[in-house]
Amino acid sequence: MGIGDRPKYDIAAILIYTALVFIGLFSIYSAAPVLEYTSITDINQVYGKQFLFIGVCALLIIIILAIEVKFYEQFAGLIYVVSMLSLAGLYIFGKEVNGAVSWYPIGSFTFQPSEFAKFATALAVAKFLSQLNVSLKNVRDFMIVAGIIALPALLIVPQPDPGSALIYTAFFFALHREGLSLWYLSLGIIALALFLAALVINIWWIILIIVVVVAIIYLLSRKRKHNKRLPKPRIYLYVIATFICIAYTLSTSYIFNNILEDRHRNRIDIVLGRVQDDAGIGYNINQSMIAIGNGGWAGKPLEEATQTRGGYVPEQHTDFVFSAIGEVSGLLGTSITILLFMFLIYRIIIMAERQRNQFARIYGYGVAGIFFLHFFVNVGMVIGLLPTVGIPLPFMSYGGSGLMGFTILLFIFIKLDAHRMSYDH
Amino acid sequence: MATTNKNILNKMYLVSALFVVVALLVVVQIINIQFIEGDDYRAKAEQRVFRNDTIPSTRGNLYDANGQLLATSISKYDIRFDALAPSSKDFNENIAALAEELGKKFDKSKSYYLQKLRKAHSNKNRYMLIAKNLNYGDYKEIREFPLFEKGPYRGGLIVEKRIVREHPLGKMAERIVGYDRRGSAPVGLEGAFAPYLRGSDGVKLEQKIGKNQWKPINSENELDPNDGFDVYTTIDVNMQDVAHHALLKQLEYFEADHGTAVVMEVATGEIKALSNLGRGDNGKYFEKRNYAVWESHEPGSTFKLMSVIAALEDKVVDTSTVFDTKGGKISYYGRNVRDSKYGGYGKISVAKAFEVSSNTALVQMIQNNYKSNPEDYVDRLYSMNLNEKLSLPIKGEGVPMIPHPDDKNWSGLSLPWMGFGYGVQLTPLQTLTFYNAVANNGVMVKPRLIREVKSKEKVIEKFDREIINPAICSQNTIDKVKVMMENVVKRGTADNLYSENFSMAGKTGTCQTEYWKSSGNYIASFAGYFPADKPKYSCIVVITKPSVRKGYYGNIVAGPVFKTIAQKIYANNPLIDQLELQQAIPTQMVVSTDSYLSKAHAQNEVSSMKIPSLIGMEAMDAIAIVENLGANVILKGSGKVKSQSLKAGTKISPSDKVTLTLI
Repeated sequence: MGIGDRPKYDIAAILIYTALVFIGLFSIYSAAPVLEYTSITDINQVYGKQFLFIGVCALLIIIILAIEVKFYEQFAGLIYVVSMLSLAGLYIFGKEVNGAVSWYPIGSFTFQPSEFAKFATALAVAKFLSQLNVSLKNVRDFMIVAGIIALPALLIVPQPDPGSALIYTAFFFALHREGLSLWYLSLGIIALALFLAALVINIWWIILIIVVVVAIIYLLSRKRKHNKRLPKPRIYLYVIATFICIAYTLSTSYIFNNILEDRHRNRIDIVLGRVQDDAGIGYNINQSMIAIGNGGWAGKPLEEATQTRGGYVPEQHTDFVFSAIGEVSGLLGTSITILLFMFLIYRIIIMAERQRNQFARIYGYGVAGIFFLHFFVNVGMVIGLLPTVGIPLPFMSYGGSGLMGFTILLFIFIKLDAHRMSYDH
Repeated sequence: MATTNKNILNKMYLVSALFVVVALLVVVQIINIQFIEGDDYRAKAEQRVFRNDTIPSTRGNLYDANGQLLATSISKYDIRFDALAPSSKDFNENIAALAEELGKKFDKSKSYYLQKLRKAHSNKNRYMLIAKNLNYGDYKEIREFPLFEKGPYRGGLIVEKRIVREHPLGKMAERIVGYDRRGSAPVGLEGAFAPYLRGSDGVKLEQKIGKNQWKPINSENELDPNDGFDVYTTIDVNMQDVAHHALLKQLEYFEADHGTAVVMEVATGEIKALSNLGRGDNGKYFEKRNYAVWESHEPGSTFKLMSVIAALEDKVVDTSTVFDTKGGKISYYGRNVRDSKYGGYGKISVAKAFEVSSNTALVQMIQNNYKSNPEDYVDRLYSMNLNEKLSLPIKGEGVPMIPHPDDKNWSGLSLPWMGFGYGVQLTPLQTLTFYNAVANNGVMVKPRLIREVKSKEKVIEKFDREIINPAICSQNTIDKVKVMMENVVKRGTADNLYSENFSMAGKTGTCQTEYWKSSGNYIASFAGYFPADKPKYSCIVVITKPSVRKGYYGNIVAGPVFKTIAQKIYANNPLIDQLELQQAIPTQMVVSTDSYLSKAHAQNEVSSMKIPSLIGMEAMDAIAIVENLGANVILKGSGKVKSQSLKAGTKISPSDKVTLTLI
């Protein structure tokens, strides 16, 4: 036993995790669709069930921390394969709930494999990229990583659960850290900007702006003649780039108007303010925003939290749990929640950076990315910044599979981090 | 390596910056929601929190003149079951006992309910119907059943209470009792006296404490409900019954479109019975519309009373003044007025003309005396309030129409035509009010449907008779017309109603209606009062569009209803035998048809169905006669009738075809 053999668990991360889980539990309690409150451990009610799930998670944590640290790296591939099989198996054995076949029935409970596919994919990506001869600059390797990430997403989309599939773009952060060219980020941002612009601004204005911007960049680049390391700017490349941008813009607006289904289009339209529909498709978001607005500074006591107690916000104990926090504990509660999340993500990045082991670092970035995207997409939806995308808020939304999946995701990293001194190749 | 590290760091700063921007975005939006637009959102949330719950008041009862219930409110209960409310333990322990009790209560097997309840439980049905329209006793019983006794939250019992209005008389007085429902126009007594019956709803301020759960803020109501008052009407259920059945029987026999019968107490104006029956699509009669109040129509001969009173009052004639009926036909501006008796009545007095309802004589009485100053006649009618609505509490009263010489469409025909009741319009109730005034020695009282308003036993408001006109004309005139009306029954157009042991007075009316559409549509009416010497009740019967083949004269169609009502009410003497006799009265007797279009009807024998001579008649008139006999007409040529295929006096049956050759 060497000096670094004694595991050093990151107490900060564990404390934040605990805080979030219990804030979540009390929010679920306040948002529970019940006429009369019973004990928080009443297994017949959602809060009692969540309480039970937390207990199961405590057990899971002990198991995760007890397992030999090398296990996760060694069995990453196997875990990934099993996870993908469980996703594929849904098409045969799955149970339909709310129009999506995302669950296996297990007794009176259901099990959602997509929540577990996240850590499996994170492990697989980390395992593959940490191999000595693998580089993202190698096109073949890049394609393999892209494949590992895309496979679960492709299995999840047709369930249909496009929200959960969207989360796999979170691995971009890890790849970015591991040397993926900045171009991908820039391209992504340009693509998103053009997409949104195409919906909000007249298409001819966008084309004009593209032409003007490209022309300016071209003119600026001509002045860099002295910089001999860079190739001479070629005008035809700029022309091609311009056309690609214009073609992309035109095609997005075509896809949006002609190929997207109404329900998706409507969700985007509402966030962009293109349509006002508080009674129909915008009902959820509107009710959720009323709930948050009603909270004020420090929130309303439970009997005055009418949006929450009145059951006006659909799915409030699951995807819209953040609105219950907003109404019951006001700006204070939401700020604390946001700070806790940001601090957790920051903490994970710090932890990832201190890893000597590349596998652990990549895994850490994967975890950070997933939490960030979940947090942003969920909260963004609840406060009306983003279209309605049905994904849970980590640790807080009601649901056993979700809570366990996130707990495993985080605690595998805490386990890896705890052994960072001794854990090396 | 240093460069790489720096590179990586830069990239990480970029990503961190993205994270921070996103976090800021979220915070900004939350502040926006909670503070900048916070008041709006809080206002929206506030709307949800409080509500003014209305506590419905209990509607008052509607009684008849003898204190019998016409309408009352009772509670009905629907029982449902929330299968998710009881705990599994409670459910399983009590379900068998509950199913057994339900089975006993509703005469079904225990297993039926056991299966039903289990199914609801497994389907998570939170609103399973157990029973509908229960009365309070049944509801109280079910409330004590196993499981249900635990109440709404633990037992899953859902009770929905409704107040329903019950009308004990049912179809008999459906229209006059009426209804007062949200979203539809008020009808009948329920509608007319709604301000008394309704009461006022209370208000209770409540706060929302959970889904579908509201808690009163104060222990007392913000506004207590005031129950509606009980309304005692003038309707007499027994008389209503008599009027309803007499009218119904006659309508059914004559296959009429609709009819009305109204009985009014002479001295007080209290409406004792008001029956309105119309034929439905299935041929059955029901209280369809309030024809007595709503339907303005040309009264025809019943209006001759008004004409005679006007002339007597203006002293332009006396009862003994003689007019020449001029062969039963008289022309004005190329249009003919005919008597129903072919050939007329010779020279007859005004009194006799009234008794036999001679159109020619009475038209001359009006036309000769008023043609230079028609406004005198019209003003006289106006002075008797004939142009005024009765302003009844019941909605939809028809507007009376008496044209004035200053009117734009006043023509030379207006005056003579008004003389025998055409070109004017009155509702049956307006006509009755006038007849009642005559019976009441000139005192015109307003028809009235309400006696008093009570709260429990306390009298809130009492209603007395309202006098529209203390004297429509001199007593002298009244005395004269009373004699004439009595003679109508004794020896005039309604002598078929005459009864030795009971005196009645009145006037028949038979007028064409919708003659602009087709001939053969009549309104048969009879208005009068009884007993003739000391009038107690006035009554009008109007029957619209009887089947012409069975009869259409006022005395035949409407008169018997009047007689039945009169005798049953007053003499308390059932008249079933006589009533049947009347259908078989030989029409050879002198009858009055008042229509100037129905020329040859006097010769027409309804019962024997013989075709009269049509030679020389206008084609239109001839067609009307033949068609009224039920036969079909084939026309040849145009103009007047030159010859007919069936000889006059031969029997005609409905399948016959009569060929008329015209000049």
